[in-house]
Amino acid sequence: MADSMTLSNAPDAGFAADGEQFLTFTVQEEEYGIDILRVQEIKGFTAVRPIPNAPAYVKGVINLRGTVVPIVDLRSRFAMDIEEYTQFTVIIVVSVGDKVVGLIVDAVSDVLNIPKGEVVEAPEMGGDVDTTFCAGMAKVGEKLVLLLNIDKLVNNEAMQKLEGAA
Amino acid sequence: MTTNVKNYREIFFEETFEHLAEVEAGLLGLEHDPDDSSLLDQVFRGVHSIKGGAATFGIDSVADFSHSLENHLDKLRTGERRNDTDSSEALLRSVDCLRALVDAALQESEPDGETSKNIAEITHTLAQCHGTAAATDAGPQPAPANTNQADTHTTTTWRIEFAPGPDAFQNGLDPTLIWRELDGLGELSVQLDDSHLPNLAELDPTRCHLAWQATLVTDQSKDEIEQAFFFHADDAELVIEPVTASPARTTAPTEDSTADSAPAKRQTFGDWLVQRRVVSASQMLKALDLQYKNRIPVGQLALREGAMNVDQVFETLEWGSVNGERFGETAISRGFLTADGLAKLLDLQVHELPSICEELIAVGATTAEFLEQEQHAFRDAGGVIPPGEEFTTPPPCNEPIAHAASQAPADKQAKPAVNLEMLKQNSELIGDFLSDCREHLEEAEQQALQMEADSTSEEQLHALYRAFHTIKGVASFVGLTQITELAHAAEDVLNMAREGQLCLTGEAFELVLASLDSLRRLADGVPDLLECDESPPADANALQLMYNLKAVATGQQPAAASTPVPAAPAPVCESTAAQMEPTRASEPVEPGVPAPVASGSDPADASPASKAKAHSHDMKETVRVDRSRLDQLVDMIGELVIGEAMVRQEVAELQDETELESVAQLGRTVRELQEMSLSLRMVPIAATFQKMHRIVRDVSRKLGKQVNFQVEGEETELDKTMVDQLGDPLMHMVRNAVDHGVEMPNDRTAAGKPAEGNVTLRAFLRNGNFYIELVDDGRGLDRDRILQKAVERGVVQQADCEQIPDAEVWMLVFAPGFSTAAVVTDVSGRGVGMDVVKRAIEALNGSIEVESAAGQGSVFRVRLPLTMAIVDGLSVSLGSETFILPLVSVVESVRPQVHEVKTVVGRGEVVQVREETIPLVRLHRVFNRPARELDPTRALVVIVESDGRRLAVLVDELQGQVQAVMKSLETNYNKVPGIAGATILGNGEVAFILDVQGIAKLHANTSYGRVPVGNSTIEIAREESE
Repeated sequence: MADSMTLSNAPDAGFAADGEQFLTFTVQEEEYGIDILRVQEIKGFTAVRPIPNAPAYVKGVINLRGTVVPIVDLRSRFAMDIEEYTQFTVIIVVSVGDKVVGLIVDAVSDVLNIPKGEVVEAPEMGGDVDTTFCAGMAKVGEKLVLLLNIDKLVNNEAMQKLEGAA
Repeated sequence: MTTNVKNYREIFFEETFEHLAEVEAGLLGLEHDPDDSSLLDQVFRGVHSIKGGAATFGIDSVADFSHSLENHLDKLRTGERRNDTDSSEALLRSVDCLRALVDAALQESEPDGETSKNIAEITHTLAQCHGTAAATDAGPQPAPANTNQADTHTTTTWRIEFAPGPDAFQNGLDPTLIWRELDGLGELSVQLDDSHLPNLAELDPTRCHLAWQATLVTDQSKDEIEQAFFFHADDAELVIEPVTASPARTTAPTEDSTADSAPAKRQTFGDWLVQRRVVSASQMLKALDLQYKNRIPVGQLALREGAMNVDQVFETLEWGSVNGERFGETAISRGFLTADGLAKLLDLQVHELPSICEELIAVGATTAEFLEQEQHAFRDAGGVIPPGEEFTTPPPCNEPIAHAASQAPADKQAKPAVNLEMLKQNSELIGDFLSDCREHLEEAEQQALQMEADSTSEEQLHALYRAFHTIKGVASFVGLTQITELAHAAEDVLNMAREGQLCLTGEAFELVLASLDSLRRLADGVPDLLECDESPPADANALQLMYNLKAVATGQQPAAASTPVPAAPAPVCESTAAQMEPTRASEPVEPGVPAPVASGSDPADASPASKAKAHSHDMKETVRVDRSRLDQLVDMIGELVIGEAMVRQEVAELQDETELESVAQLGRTVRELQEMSLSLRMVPIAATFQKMHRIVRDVSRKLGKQVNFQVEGEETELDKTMVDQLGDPLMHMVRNAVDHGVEMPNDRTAAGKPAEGNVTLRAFLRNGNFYIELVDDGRGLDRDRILQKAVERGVVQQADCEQIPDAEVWMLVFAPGFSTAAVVTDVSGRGVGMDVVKRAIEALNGSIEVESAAGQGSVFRVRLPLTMAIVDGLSVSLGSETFILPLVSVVESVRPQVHEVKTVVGRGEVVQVREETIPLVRLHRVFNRPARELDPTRALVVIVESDGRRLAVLVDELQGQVQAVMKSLETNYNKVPGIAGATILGNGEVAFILDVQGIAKLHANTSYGRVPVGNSTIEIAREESE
């Protein structure tokens, strides 16, 4: 994949017409991106009320101005090491279908415009690396950004596992 | 504007489904009581409204089909055809089809093949109905009710003597025309009688001194002959008699014998004026001509007096203009008017001629001043001026209407302004109607004014049309006949404008605006009507408007509407007016009526005093609100409650007395507000119950059972969301009751019961819960069969059968896939029904229980919370978390003694409460959460009940009672076993509301007696350390 001139030189200028904007964030020093149109808000970490018998990565629910919103911890979703939440830990509130879900990430990085041509399919990793929720990958400057398909990430998996638990 | 259209469309669909429900209810009612015309009317109205609405929104499939239904229903209404089984079956099916069509339209898809097939079948059936109907009633009334035609075919010789009055020529008499017309009727011979002719010196050439005698051999009736003299009969002596009969003197109906015998007094004001040369004869003729032109057309009068309705008038006009017939003739021949009725109308027409004085001024013959002088002079000379001619006097107008309405001919055609009976029946809807109506009128007016600025704007035109259309629909529904008709007339005009057949400018536009005003006035008068005992006479203003609108719609200018109308009666006016007959023209006449719109009077205007009390009548006014907005409001108020709780908590910590008080005040207000907001969502269960009638009917018919279905307490209110979701489970239950509960008629009689089974569906409130009971007097549940089936399916052990109490046996019917029916019918018996019922009701936080006695029937009782939105609960803590137990399921809370907690080998822990042994459920274990207190004797046990079974739930601590605003977890997440929903606490944190049944299930799935693993081991360790 060739370097993107636009992005490597001036990440926040001159959005290409066919590009999509992504909110990028880090989870365990890895760079992820989600379609910015799906992002409702970004808020600091607040106490989460655990849901009984929920999958481990569903941390619980929070009160988002009167709405009960489930929170998914991406670290545990990606089966990474669990770390204490810090002052940089944020919840990205996204809409998945008609539902609203919060994602716990280490930190929010940037808003990037990534032309469609820059996005390549995520390679098959094999083994126990689950890439079903990858929409693709893009190289931005030095960084490799994994673009997430949050519908697959949150909706299907979470619900299926939960039903299994029930 | 497009959003507006969309809104209307939504409302249309909503209303259509409502109409369909009404139609269905009406049809079912008709099956019981086929002669109930009000039900038939209800059905007709429903279908009619659907048709109208569908046509407006261009849903042709619906419009066409409902139109054919409407035709059929109309035949039923007029009694041309009876609503027998075939027709009723077809009609009921057609409701289903309509619903399918509307559904398809709503989804903007094509109706499925089955619907189309059904529609074709129904149309066929109905067409057959009509075929037979036409055949059977070929006889009744082919001939219009004109008795005068009875002697049409016998030839008679008539002797005619005709002696016109002295002024006849002045009145435009041309005897040659009369004789020529009579000649056309048959064989005529005429002789002139000039015996009264004076000497030439004395001869006044303007006066008539001649008379005629004639014989006529004709097959025409006497009326026909009289017709020839019609315009001159007033002041002439006319004898028409068969030569064989003895002479019978016929005078024109308007003739007054006293006037006849005193010719000196007969000089009219008109004569006087001409004689005194105040005006010239030609001016006078011109004025008379104008007076004639300004007369009120017969059709309009007929309309005003209620002798004919708008449609009849226009049918007559159209027919007349096609066949070259006169209005009166056509009306009589078509049976709209009787001859007598026509005569009365003509009479009235003469009475209400505009004043000759006005016309004289209008033609410029003289001035008002002169006329007044002349009037005095005329009086002084002994002349009598009829009050109506008195040109300075403004005429009162109510009288002629009342007077004529009371003797309005052909009563059966007369439509009152209001169907009072219907109006009163619907009195609770009137408030709705009026607020709707005013809204529409306002909207319409705005659109109309915009249109005036830009007459090409189609959107405004559509909006205007819709407004009238809606008003029409609703008015017809509540029985406001006149509003309906006026709106209908205006709608027709607008529709033509929409279709480009008419340009909505000038006169037509003014008429539409005038209709708006008139409708508003009529609507304002409606509250008064509710207090009347008699239907008021039609509003003359509205009638005239209707007439003019119709005229515009049929392509004539309103003024020109008279052209085809009364060629016949016209000369009457002329002659009479010229005579200005003092004795006759006593009825007041409006001064100069160039625009018919202005004439007549308005009852509403006439009684300004009555308006004041208009609103004293108790009317229920409503506002239609978007459901999501309502939910939002309820949510926001829920937030307010939470906010208030937070404030209260903080203030309580401050320990400030005065502030506590004001916070308490705030709390009360907030709670009241909350209760109010919740009541907003409450609706009667009636709509859901209504559907059950149809199900009972269909099922019982299919199975050949006789069922008397009763509904009680349908006005009981429940949260709208729940009402909507209750439909399906109730349907299953009712179906089951008829299918499995009620026996076949033979079996019933054999069992000593009446052949007709009873099924009652009842709703009521008790202890803050909503109950639905479904009671049947059928065979009851079969304990042995249920148990046998349960054993077969391995639900229970054969050995246990004897011990299981009835109540638990009955609950087995709710197990998935459980059916005891010997035959699986397409009605029920597949065993899918009852477990769906149970699940649906549990989803609504409700429960169901069964009572049954063999041979006597069963009772299915559903208990539901009044609303899903608020849960009265007991908050308990577990570890650092708070859970809420719904208060309805809480029995008591205890802290058991050591000896009261026992372990049953293989059956887990139990708690002994008094004599009862209750299984202990450790909430922390069920939920896999940490707990602070694991020893039941030091923690707290809450005894809860669900489905008749009790559980002892072990929690750390009791916190208190709370009112929780229930928030579904499914909105953003999924259903969590053991949890009914979430709520937000006073401190802003989320707490889960427990689902006792779910917990019982979770508990049952946990293996008892198993050595605790994982977390639990730690718990035990901790337990021991404590």
